[in-house]
Amino acid sequence: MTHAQLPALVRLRWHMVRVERVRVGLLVLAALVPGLLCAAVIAGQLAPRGRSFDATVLTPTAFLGFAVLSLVAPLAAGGGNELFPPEQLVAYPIRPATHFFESLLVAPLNLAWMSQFVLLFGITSFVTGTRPGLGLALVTTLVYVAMVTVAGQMAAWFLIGARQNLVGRRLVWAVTAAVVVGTVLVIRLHLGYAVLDHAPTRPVVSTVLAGGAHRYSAWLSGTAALFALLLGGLWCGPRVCAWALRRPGDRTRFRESRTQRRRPPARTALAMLVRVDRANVWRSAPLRRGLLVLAILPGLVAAGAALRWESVVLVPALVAAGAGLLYGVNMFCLDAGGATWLASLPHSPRVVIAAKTIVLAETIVGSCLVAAVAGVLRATDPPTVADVTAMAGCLLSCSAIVLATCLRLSIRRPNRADLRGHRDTPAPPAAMAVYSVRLATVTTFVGLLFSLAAHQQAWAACVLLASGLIALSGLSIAHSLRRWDDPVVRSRVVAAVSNG
Amino acid sequence: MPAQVETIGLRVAFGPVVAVHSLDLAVQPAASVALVGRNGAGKSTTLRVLAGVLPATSGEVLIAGIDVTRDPATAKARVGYCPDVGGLIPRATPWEHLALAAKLRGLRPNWTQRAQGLLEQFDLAGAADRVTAGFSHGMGRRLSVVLAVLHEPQVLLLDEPFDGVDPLGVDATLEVIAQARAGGSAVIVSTHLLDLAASACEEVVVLRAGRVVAAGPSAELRGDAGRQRYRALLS
Repeated sequence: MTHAQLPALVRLRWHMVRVERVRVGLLVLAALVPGLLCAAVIAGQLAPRGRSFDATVLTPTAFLGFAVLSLVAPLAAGGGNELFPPEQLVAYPIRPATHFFESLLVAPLNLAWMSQFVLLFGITSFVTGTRPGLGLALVTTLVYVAMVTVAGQMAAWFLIGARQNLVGRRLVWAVTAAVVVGTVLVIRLHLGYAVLDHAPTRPVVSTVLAGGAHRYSAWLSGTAALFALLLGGLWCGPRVCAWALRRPGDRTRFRESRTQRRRPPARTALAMLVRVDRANVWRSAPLRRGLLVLAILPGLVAAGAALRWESVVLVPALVAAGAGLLYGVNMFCLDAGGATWLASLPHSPRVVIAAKTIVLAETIVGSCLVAAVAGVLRATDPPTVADVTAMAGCLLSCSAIVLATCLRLSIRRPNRADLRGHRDTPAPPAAMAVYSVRLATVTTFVGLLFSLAAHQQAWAACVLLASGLIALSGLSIAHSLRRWDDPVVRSRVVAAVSNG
Repeated sequence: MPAQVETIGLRVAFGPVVAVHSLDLAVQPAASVALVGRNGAGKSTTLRVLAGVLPATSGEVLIAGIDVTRDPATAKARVGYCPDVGGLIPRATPWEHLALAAKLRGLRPNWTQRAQGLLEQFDLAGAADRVTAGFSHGMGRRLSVVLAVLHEPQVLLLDEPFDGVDPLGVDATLEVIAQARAGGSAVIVSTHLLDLAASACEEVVVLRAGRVVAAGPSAELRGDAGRQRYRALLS
């Protein structure tokens, strides 16, 4: 039945993309992927071979990085994303296998996953060199990518199931704590290189190299082992998913039945709205988890890598985009059905949007600050004026850009999204993929500009650049606020987030 | 006496779809009107316009003599509105909803006593500090009615207030409607439940495809004969 259910769900989701321009954009994005993979392979072939030995040594780390990403991304998303929120499918007899393959299908709609996939193809091409065995090496990489992606989805479903009772939740927290403590110890004891030298991905890279060197039996055995693991994952995954869905208890319902502390009313209407919006963010399971992951993980990675200041400058750029994707791209969905009631209360419409903007700005700047501080704590060089200026400029500029983009998107493309379940996202998967490309491309480019300025010790350029970008973002925010003043626009947003 | 609610030639269109056609409606102070009709008749759309949530495409809407389009904030201050679906912020508690409404409406600090009384009347006091996402449909409906009547509005708009509500909740809702009328408020109730519409309101307006097809005393729609007449009006 799964083979009939999955295409039907995909077709329905595709038909629900009503705007022709968005459909074309999605098709262009999909068409870009094979092109990017080919470009990566060609770039790997054409790159100067002077440092191919270094690249070969670093390849297991790159493969390990992809595995970590494939595991962390669905775990951070509470079990991976899905085509439809569960409550929309509750009336239909959807099989667990369909749920599993649905989340597997959506997994590549992730900028980080896609860019790492392209990078792995490029590295494979580079370390293999201009040999006829390149095709075999690429097959191994492809099987590896599929295998770790399936494993990531399976682990995510296992996590959903495990967290349904107290023992499971404690176990998950214990494992998470052990991983964090282990990572910190590895960093503090300077064991990073020793650990990476023993990366479990070394046999995979050996298989890749065997393919390139025409050592057919070594390639075949290695690739067959990976393929067997992939098939095992495809067999186990739906069963793990079925087990997770059968588990009694519901963490979300448990939290929803808890009594919240009653606080005295805030002094002003704006303060009251900000308080409600903050509570709306922190009481939402996917947002709370996303914020923690976003603030801690990039900082931990930056600290672990012990980067130079000019590289740490990039951290807030990447985090700002992620913070916007948590809920900012559809910020009015926080009110859900309450948006209609809120619109009937006597207040200036600007107060509602100001409260949401303040809370989103707190989310973005707070996440960026935590990640940036964690990164600079272990920076390898003492900071110069230019480094500090670039860091501050990048943080503020990227936050302003993301804020402006989120406001614009929230008014133009509102969606109903409850953000209640662990796997809920503020927009449908394809839209989220487009938004992530849009935000990450701009913020990464801005981050690179500030990094370059820090490298050139050009603090004045950092100030000028930041001033310009913040001013442009301010203009965009002002334009969005003017649009919000239009009652027709507001009623459209309210109707969309309230009723879908 | 001037009408508390008045619509003159109200028209609401969503692109090519016209939800409300040239609706003329007047509700006097202390009067109650039930809007009844089939799904898509324009009942909820009319109430949304009266509540200032949805702008009218054309026509005039007056709340206590105030034009909703020209001075929406003043008009909204006089209205209490219970939306048809949802109407609640999912991760806020009933008490936080009430505190937010009190702040935005500029109520005096003693609003807490009335709020507590209403929560007890609607059997929600025990759930006052739990997030509304965990509420049943009926609990959500009851809280929406509490929020609509908190400030003792001059105009009370209730959209499907009895939908999925238990008998005690229905009684509480009928009681606040009666209290609002006794206090001089104009009440408009949209519902599919004809008997409850007749119990809650003295007048009934039947809408079909965005137009008024009948209006009169609610007693005329009571009993089997009333129900048959109503069905005839809908078809």
